[in-house]
Amino acid sequence: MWAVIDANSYFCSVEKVFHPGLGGKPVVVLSSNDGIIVALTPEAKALGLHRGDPIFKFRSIVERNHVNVFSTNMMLYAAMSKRVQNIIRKSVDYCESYSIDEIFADLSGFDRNFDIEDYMRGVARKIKLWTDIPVSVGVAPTKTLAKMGSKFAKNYPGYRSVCMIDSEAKRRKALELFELDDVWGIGRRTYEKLLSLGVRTPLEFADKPGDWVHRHFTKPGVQTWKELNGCPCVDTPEVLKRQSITTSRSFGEMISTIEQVKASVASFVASCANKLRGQGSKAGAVSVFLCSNFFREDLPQYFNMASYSFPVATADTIEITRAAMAIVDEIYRPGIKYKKSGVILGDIVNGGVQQNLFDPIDNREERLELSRALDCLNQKYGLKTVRLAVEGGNSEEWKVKSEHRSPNFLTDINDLLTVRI
Amino acid sequence: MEETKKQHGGRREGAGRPKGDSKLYSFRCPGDLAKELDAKTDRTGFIRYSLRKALLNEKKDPDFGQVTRASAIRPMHLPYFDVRVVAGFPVPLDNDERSQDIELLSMLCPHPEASYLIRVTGDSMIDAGILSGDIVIVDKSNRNPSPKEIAVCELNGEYTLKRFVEENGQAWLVPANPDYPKFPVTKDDDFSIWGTVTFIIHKARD
Repeated sequence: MWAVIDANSYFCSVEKVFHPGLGGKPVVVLSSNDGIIVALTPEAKALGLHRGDPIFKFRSIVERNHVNVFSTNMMLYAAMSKRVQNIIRKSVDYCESYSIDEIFADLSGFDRNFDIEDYMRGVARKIKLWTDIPVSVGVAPTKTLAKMGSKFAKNYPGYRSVCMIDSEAKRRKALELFELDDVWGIGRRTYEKLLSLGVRTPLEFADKPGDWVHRHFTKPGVQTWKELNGCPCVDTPEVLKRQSITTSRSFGEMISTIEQVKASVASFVASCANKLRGQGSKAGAVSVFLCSNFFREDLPQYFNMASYSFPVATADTIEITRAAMAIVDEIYRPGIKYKKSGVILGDIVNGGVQQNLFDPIDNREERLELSRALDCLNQKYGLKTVRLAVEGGNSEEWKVKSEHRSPNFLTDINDLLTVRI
Repeated sequence: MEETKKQHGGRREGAGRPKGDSKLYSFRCPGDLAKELDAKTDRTGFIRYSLRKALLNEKKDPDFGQVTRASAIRPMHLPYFDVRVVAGFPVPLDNDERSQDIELLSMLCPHPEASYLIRVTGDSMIDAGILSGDIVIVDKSNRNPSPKEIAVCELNGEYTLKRFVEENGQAWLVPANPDYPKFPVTKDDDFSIWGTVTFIIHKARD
């Protein structure tokens, strides 16, 4: 059995821990640069706000209903996430973290000694007590079904935060009620394909014969189909590592010089590369995109993107940065006010990389070791303590504007929650 | 008979590897790599250089010594010697008795995930040893503080730090400073316990 533990409105819940008087109130968290809503509480949803709404279009709703607005503080959310995950890891030996607010726990063998539903309810209660973060738990033979369970547990208080899909009848019932495009692993393209093939519910998909599925879908689609039928086959680390790594951000102020654009791209490369090394992978390609402000129709509009493939997959910040800078030289156009740039590392490979005899770089091992040493320094002394010169100084215009960002309550001794008594 | 036999088998003129000390190798490589190779002006020289480089790399030691990860550095614990001072005689110690490490963190935060640091300003808890500017360690897993413990409470949209006492069905928030009055908590108040203070970190000032 797999359990997925999913935090409810996670970013908002973290803000609620450190800001008194927000219980039952509408709360929204905005993307970096205060652009769009990335998280909101059910109370905010009830006012007609949605995830992905640009906040400036809904100013009146926000002001009229005294919606509490926060800017994203990923450092704070990550610190709280670590606490939640540690609590779970103390209860279940084998866990796979999937995202900042979701973790899979392997419950194999637990049914011999525990009532699983009770056990997971205990874990959820402990998380709530120790961190004040409410969670929903789904338990099922496969991760895809477990994720459906957690959605049911979140939407129906009757489950008391744990929904188990452990019988054939429950599985069919859940598949019948669930929205097809909410199924884990069914993205927009797969969803449209399924619709065009006349499949409207997860149950209809699960009931299709195997040869039909193999005919129409590749490995990920087949895996989802198997998982919906109760046959576990999705490996979380594999899914995570397969995904490309993206860092992109809107700038606080629009920028136009090539030095500023390069500084932003270099800094995004650094954080992508750091994540890449963190998961022990290497990237075979890097893409860079630049983008003007689409909400300013009075200004000239521009979007461009280009990619570079490495001769040998790499995780070396310097090598990736050099390639990214070459792309910027290629796609940068003067006279444009840029609002956003981004870096995507693709063709991710794990572990051993095939050597290339004609590799232009002859000290790969040492250079990777250098990049790792940078990671260690930056982990110990704070992000971006050591960085490439092209990333520029600290007071760059492209740095994020976030007016409502909470202090780093959990990670900075100067930012502790202060109480007047 | 002998003449016809000679036409089959035996050496063929000009066949085999050319004589000389250089050897000829052929190898296959992927298409994109081949393109890159073909583009080189001195192909032999480049291949020779690459091969030599690869061979050298096999046994080369890094010149700059061992790179140690910063994360590999161990935390330092305070050694704790359990020796009562006896004037005059040095006391020999057995290995068993010699030292214990104190892990300050696990002493102060038995459940790190449930422990939070909060800075306090104000003097309403002076008699409980909490001075303005102190940092308190709060255990969130204890939401039922005894009357002697100090609770972090949320009262009508604000955090405060007081003793929470119930007397004859009436709840009070009690300060530890005679200059401050105790404060009744009624059913109409929006009240909850956030956590319980376990330790007070007070900087020894001069």
